[in-house]
This record gives sequence, C-alpha cells and structure tokens, in this order.
Amino acid sequence: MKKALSPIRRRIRLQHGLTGLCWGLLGQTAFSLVILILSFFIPLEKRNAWIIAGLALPCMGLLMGLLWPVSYLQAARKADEQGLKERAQTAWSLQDRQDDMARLQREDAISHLKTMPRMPLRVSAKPLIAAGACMAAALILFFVPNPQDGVLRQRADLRQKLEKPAAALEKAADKLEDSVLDKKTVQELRRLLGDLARETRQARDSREALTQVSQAQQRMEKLLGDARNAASEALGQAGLDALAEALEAGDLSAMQQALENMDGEALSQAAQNAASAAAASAMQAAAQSLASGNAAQAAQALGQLSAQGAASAAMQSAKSAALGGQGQGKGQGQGQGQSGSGQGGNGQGAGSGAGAGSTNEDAGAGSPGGKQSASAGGREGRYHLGEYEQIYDPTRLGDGGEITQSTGQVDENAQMSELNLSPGLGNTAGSIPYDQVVGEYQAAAVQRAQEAALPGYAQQWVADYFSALTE
Amino acid sequence: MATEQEILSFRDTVEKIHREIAKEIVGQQAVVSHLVLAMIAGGNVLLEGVPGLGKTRLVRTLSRVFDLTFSRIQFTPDLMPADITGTNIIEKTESGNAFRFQPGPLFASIVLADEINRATPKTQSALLEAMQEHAVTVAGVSRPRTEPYFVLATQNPVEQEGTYPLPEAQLDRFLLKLLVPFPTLSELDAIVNLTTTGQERQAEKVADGGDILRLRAVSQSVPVAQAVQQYALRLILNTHPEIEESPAVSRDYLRFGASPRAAQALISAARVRALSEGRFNVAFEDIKALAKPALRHRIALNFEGMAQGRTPDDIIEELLG
Repeated sequence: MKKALSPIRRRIRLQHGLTGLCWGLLGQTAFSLVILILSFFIPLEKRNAWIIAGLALPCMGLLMGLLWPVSYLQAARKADEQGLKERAQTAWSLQDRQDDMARLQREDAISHLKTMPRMPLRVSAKPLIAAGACMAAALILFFVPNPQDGVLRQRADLRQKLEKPAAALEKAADKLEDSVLDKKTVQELRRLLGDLARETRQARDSREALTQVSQAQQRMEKLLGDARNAASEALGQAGLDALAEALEAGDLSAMQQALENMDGEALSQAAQNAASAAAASAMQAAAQSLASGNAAQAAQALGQLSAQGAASAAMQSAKSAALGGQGQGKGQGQGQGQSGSGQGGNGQGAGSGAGAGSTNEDAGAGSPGGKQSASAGGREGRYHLGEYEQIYDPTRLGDGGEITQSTGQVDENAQMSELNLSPGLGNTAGSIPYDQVVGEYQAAAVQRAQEAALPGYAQQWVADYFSALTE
Repeated sequence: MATEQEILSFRDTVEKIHREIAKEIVGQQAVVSHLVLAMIAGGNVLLEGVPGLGKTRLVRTLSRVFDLTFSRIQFTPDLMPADITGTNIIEKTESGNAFRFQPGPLFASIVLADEINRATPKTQSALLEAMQEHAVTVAGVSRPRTEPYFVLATQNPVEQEGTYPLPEAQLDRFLLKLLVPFPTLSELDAIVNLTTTGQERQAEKVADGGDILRLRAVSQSVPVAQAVQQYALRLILNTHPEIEESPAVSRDYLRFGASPRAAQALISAARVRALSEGRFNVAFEDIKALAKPALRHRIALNFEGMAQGRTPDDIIEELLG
C-alpha cells in the first residue's frame, strides 16, 4: 500500500508547495505594499532592500509546502476523493489483516490506485487575485512622488558630509594611542570618540548629529576637566601656581614659560599628589620631558589635559557639517590649548565655536581664506585683522554675569570661609573678545533651538546667523 | 471468515437473483434491489405504495427465487393476534383429547403483512416479536423461526381513515422503508403485455435459505473505514433535535430522531450494497444511497415540519447535503 500511495503523497506535497507559493506571493506583494505605504509616512532608508527581502516569502511558502509532512492516510483519503470510493483508506486501515476479505480489498485498492489518473494540480485563485491587486496598488505607489524621498536625500547628504568628520574622529581616537594620559582615560576617550563616529554616521538629521556632538563634547570636557582640576590642585599644593594658572587658562605658551623656570623634580613630586590618574600621568610625562630639557614638550604633555586637539577639531568639523557645512575650516586645525576650545569651567560646547584655532596668536590657522574676524572679508571698521570687538560675555548663561559667591563650610574653629568664584572669562567689565565666546553662543543657541523644537528652517536660521558672524 | 470464492461469487449470486426476479417483476429496480439487500442483511421491510403495484407479486416471486415458504396476511381491523401467530386447538387422539398447536401464517419463511396499518395495535404487536426475535410465543411457549425469516409489511398511503398507524417501536424494527413508485408508461406497457397475454414467465429457484445465510455471513465481513462509519453515525446523531450540535433543519422540523438500530441498519445494508456492486469496502456513496430507506420511518416531523409540508426525505436530503 505504501508503494501505491507514494506517488499520491508526492503529488500532494507538490500541491501544498504550489499553494504555499501562491500564498507566499500574496504575502510578498502585501508586504511590499505595506512597505511602500509606510515609506510615504516614515523615511525608510532601505525600502527597496525590504521589498526585495520580501521575495523570501514565496520561497518560504513553496519550501514549507513541499516539506510539510503528508501521511499515508492523508494520501489515501486524497486518492479516494478522486473516485476510488474509500478503497484506499479502507485498505490502509486493514494493513494488518490477512483474511481473504482484507486481502481482496487491498488488491482491489492497489489496482485502482495504479490505474488512477494523475491528480490535477490546482492553483489557488484567491491569493493570486489578491496578490495581483496588491501588486497593482504597489506599482501605482511606486510612480507616485514620495514626500519622504526629500528627507532621505537630506539624510544621505548629511551622512556624506559627516563621513569625513566621522573618519577624523576615528583617526583622532587612533592618535590617542600616543597620549600621555593614563590608560583608563585614554580608553574612555577612545570609546567616546568611537561611539561619536558611529553615531554621527547613523544620524538621521542635523539636530541629532548636533546633539550627539554636543553631548560628546560635554562628556570629553567633563573627563578632561576633572583631570585638569586635579592637576591644577596638585600644582597649587606644590607651589607651582603659575603653571596651575596657565593650565587652567589653557595657555600653552604660559605653561611653557612657567615650565622653563621649573625643576622637573618638583613637577614629578606634584604628580604623585595628583588625585586623578590622568593628571598624574600627564604631569609625570611633563616632568620627564622637563628633565630632558624640553619645556615645549612638557607643555604639550600638560596641554593634553586642556583639550584633545584632533578630537576637538573633528567634533567641531562634525558640528559644522551638521549645520550645513558652513564654516568648515574654522574649527579645525590647532585647537589644543587655544582659547575658546574646551576651556575649563564653562562646559558649553567644549572645543566648539568658530573661535577655535583662530585666535590672535593663530590668525588664520585652519581657516581657509583666512576669514577670521568680523573685520575680515573687506568689512570696514575700526578693527584690523587679528583684532576683535569686545562683546558682552554673560559668563554663565542665565545669571547675568555677576560675580557669584559661594558660602563655604564652617570649620572647627567656627570660621566660615568665603570663596569668590571667578566671573568667568574676561574682565569684570564683562567684556571679552567675541570670538572666544561665539562658539559657546552658537552651540547654546543651536541646542536651545533644538530643545524648543523649532521647525527645521528656523533652526537653520539660527545656525546661519552664527555662521555668518564668524565669516 | 468468508472465503475468497464466497466473496467473489457474492455479486454473481445477487445479479442472478435480480435477473430471475426481473422475469416476473417489471421495473421497480430500486425496490427489488433494496428488498434483496434487506433479505441478505437479515432485516424486515416496510413497503408503502398504492394498491396494484405488484407488492404481493414481488414477495411471492422472492419466495420462489429462494425456494422459501411464503404466507400472506391481509390485515383487517378485526384480525386477532391468534389469527397470525397460530393457536392451540383441541384434537382427538387415540389417548383422548389433546392440544395441538396449529401454526399461523407467521410461521412461513417469508411473511407478507398486507396493509399492516389496518390491524389493531394488539395484532400489530403480535408481529413485533416475530420480526425482532424471529420467534413466536403462543400460550407461553416460544417457537423460534427457522432462518432466514423475513417480514415484508405494506401500507397504503391513500386510505388512512380507520387505520392504526404503526407505533415508533414497531417501525424501528423494519430495516428499510421503501416507497413503491407508480410505474412509468413503458413499464406499464410491459406489465400489461406480460400479464394479459398469458405469456407470464415464472421465476425459478436460484438460491435457497442456506445461500442467503451464507451471503449474509460474507457481507458481515466487509470492512468499513473509520471515516465512513463516523459519517453514518454523525448522520444518525444529526437527526436528533435535542442535540445542540445538530443542524438547524433537525431542530426546526423534527420531533425525534433515529435510534441506534438505525445505525446498525445503515451499516449492515451498506455492507451488502458494497459487495453487490463488486466493491470490498463500504463507501460514503453506500451510506448516502441507503440513508433515506433506512431513516425515513425512524424520524418524525413536528408540527412545524408538517405545516410546512416537509417530508422525512426532504430532511434527510438536507442532512446529507
């Protein structure tokens, strides 16, 4: 009986496969239609890939149908439906009986199975019709202009623009191998830069990219800020106030000057008292360089606590690219230890701002065309190249720029100490060269525009305004 | 267990029987076929048809074909049970007077109970034991009947006045109820030619009681696939309006459904039919073909069904659909 029923089983499997294929086609066309409809509302970047992936459905349907188990009893029943009058299934149930009636019945069934015409294969009309309808709808949608295509193009443009900065971030991360900072800090910085590179590549819009860069800048500033404070404190305790001040100011030349007059041993001693491993590491490296008579190299080593030049520059480049690619060159190049780049205390877009790398000392560095200041580019005014207008610096945004006092702890002698906090950058008049703060302004304004969920064009206005200031 | 030869000769024997009957009976192919089927299956048959359709002739022919004793009982309202079962009569013997049992017409092998619905229920019930037990009890003495024993009852659907409709319990004892249709024009033509020209042919014996019993034994070994049996049983259950899962047509138009005896009747008859057609298994087709004869007298319409002019055959048709 098994032998007689085997061709029927194969035929049933084939029928199942055909049915699975038809339903799979319906699944695939319906899936494609859903993807196309969704793509009108959500910018689907890999829309075509999804549609092509849907081709797996008919294949799966066919395969499932062909592999679906078919029992001999099922085959017998199917054969009986072709006019065998229940001969096959009766014979299958009588397999174990050997009496004359069972044997005659079995022989009768087998002879009928052998002469039975081939079972016709039926194509399921319903799923095919439905699939046809879905395909027609999908074709129509394919030719209808998709409003999300513009969004996707913008994203692609943005990604293209961010590719270079992302690569620069990765390069900066690699360069950290040569850093004098401790291993843990280096690892954290590398991870931060690596993550930022990956995130900017995947950023869906400028806002996201800017947010990512700003957050990364803040994290980096926090990381370096803590180390810098620890180093500053250690230097202060060791009586190396000048060096501590220069370190806090991020003034590389002042640091170098201070180091030239210093004994490497003192620096090494101070390093041992540093609370932060990164600070200790940088100070030790500086001490070693100083011991070998290279104050500049020592300054560079300490300067790594102020800012990571390549990293900051790459971040700024990413920011500029996110803002539309304007002012690309302004943040690049040297920024290490330069004013306006990741200075301690403000935490606002560290390393950002068009002022980075474009200071009085470094006029035109990293800035193509040398348009550094407001007076550049042929603008008439009282200031010359390298001189900057004084603008109001609110210091800490929101508190009016007044000198802030903080009450200290009561000590054991019941004395209370007061500490006058610095008014921030600039003098008490509240003025400071604008190029040193315009980066902060820009970052703060852009961030605020994003937080306020302004429309895209309004955010672009804000970005354009500040970019124009730096031209 | 039936031998191969017996199985293979079954169909030939049945066909021979049909051919022989056809010598005397014109048309009525379905009725003849079902009658023979019922005889082989060991059941009784209720025939319903207007007078003059050859019901008596048919039964007489059957008795000739099988060489079995035949008796005809014309049921009337004044017929008593003893008239059909037989009675003890006093007989003068050498030693004095003694009772001797005089068997009634029930003691033939084939009994034709003509217009059974005209007899009183008491007389009808006298037939019950003979039909079911194949035995007749008179004065406390049970006298079994020799096999095969076959009761064929008739009913006239026209004259219903003064009749006593058969109780359900008795109706349930008939394996099949056959409706005898009026002959067609060509059949009428043949009947007239056959019976009014003195050219009647007489059927001859082709089998005997032992052959019937052998055929019965062979038919009992015909296998029934589980699906087919379940189908038959499901059909029986669907005739019961009190069962929630039964179709709406049963719940709407039936007062009560078929008994388990109907399931037995259906399967037994289906086995004979399958073998008669040269098949060695019962098919759905057999169940469907025998559903009406086996069930029409076992289900009862409710008032709604009667008011709407539905018939048991309509209900069964819908259940089969």
